[in-house]
Amino acid sequence: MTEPYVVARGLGKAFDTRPVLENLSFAVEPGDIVGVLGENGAGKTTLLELILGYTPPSSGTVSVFGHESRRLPGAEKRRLGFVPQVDELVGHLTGAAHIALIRAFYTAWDDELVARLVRKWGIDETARVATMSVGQRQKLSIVLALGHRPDLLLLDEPVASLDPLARRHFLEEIVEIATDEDRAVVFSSHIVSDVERLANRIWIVRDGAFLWAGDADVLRTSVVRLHLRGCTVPVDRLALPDMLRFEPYANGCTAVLRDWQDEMETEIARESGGTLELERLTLEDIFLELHR
Amino acid sequence: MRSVAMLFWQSFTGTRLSRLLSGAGLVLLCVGCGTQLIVPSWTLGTGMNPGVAIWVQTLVLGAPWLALLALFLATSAQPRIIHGLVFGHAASTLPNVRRAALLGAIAVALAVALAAAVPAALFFIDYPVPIDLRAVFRRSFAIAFINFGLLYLAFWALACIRGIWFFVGPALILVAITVPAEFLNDRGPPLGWREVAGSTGWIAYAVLILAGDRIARRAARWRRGTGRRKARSAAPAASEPRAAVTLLLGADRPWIGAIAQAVPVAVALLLVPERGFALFGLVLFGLVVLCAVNSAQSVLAAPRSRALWLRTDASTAELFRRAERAFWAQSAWSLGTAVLILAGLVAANGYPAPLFLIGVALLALATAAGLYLGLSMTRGLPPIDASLAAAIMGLVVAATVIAVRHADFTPRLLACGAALLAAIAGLRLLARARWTALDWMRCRPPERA
Repeated sequence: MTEPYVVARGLGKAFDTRPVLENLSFAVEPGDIVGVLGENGAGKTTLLELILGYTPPSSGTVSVFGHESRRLPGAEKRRLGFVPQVDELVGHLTGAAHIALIRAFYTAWDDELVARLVRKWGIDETARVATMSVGQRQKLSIVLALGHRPDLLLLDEPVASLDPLARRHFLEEIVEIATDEDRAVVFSSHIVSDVERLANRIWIVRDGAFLWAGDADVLRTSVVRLHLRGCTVPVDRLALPDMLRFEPYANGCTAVLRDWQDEMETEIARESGGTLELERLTLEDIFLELHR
Repeated sequence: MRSVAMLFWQSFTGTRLSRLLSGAGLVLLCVGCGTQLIVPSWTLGTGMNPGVAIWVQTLVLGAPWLALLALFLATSAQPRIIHGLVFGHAASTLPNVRRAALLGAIAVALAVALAAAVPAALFFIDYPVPIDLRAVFRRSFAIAFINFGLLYLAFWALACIRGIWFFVGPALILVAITVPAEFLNDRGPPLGWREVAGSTGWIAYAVLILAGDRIARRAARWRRGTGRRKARSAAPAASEPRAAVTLLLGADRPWIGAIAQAVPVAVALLLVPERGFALFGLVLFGLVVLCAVNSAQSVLAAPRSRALWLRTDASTAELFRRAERAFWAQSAWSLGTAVLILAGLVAANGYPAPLFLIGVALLALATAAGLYLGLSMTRGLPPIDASLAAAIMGLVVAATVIAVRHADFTPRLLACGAALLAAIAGLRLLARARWTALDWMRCRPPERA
């Protein structure tokens, strides 16, 4: 069995006395594509920076490739890639100079991949970064993070500045990376449809804690919307599982349930004496319901 | 080592300008060194050889200096590249990046120091008195290398930091320009206090590269902490409208300008050999220029006033009055500091009292000129405004030169002062008129695409 790339236990981070993340435990295995969702200020960036070792945890531990993330040896850093939310490129250098400079830090560099992405995304290598648009800079940052084909790729809202076409190309690349079983991707995004399309695991962060951390498929099947009609018993007497929302009306109700299991369907229909309609939710609906 | 080599290469060739400068520097270096080897009898300190044409002599002497200048300027962006690598997230992902950055910086400085030391030794190749060329080379090499530590640190401060530490850059450049001249003339033991002082530049640069981001983050945490404490202790004052106005207009930290003024003057007082009346002239000239520059920060007011306009129901005329008041309050700090320095200088050297009064009057005029110049520039810096600024500053400088030369209230000085006063009054009218027709779309230079 392969070792997880990232293991966090009781991870917490506070800025001065204000807690940002509290008591998080998780693991990222090879082959995982983890989508991190959350409101602004929920702690997504801090979570990625803790994994990266950019900032020390206030409590708990996080290890990457078996080493404490803050003390990652050079050989292991070669297996790590990161795209920050706001690019940190040097304004007066050209794109080509950036590629040459970053390439020199790695023993293995996929020139073909870099050349293909540069061509596909229309990055002008000869232009100075200061003259590039925000989207072009973001594309260059992504190319620089992918060039050494990292085993663990961390992306902090990587598509925020990309046009729809570049976003689609980027997602295709991530899918390609993910098809290699030995790689893992952790990315945060506000575009829930991208996360839905890409991620096989989802972390939803709210107020510094996980609202959900697990398989994307399980999340999609475990949160459902029920429409009960023609009930013969008062709906508030029904024993429904963990409810996120409950709207009763005459002889029926609409409820959003968490931890749903399919065998509950016949049980609830029998108990209520009415008809039951089950509605599967999109990830965006689930995200919104969990945040109500 | 590939990363060190690439950093070295990019430091010399990262931009079009640096490539141009590096190429020119190399050509000039080869020309300078080559001519020194080929054209015999260029003997520094023994006069010109009558058998060699003037242009050749100029080439022999000037080419290596220009080469050094070109090569150094070509690498002046190196601190910015290093900042990009060791500050921020790249330091957590790029393997051994801090070590590579430090080695790269040292390699670049060694290369440029070599370009300084080789021609320096060749200058003495035909010296009539036997001289140890290796000692000349070693000394020049060490001085250049030590000095580059200070200069790269200064460039880093100028390019990458803001706030009070931004002014460390000019002060370091001042030290780096002044100290080597004394080094070269010093015939004492090879390791004196200056060498040790110079080495601290490299030590500081190395600390920045190896641990700068951590220090910066701790400093930021500390600042946040003190900021909160201050906010708690001064909570009622922070909510006063005047505090909000100065904050929005960018005039909330007047002490930065005052310190930025005091530090270079203090350094100059330590290093400049002039004494007596010449020193007064020099200091007064420096203070007048610094007062004008400090108060000209009012140029920030126009683009920033939009935030104030959105938050209040003030008209643009009212905005002008508020900006004028805020920047006078800010400039008072630098003016007060300048007057204190001048008073100290007059008291310590026993200069006559009229001299002090002339100095104070000039400082006040320079402050007012700078302030209203800044306020009148509400549309970037078109050629007409640039010419106006140059003319006003020329008048300020002329008045200072006349004051220093005659050391009394001469008619010429009074005329110059009156002209300056009239110009200031005109500038105020112009500024007020422009503010009433303020167009915030035109306040900022066009953004780069």
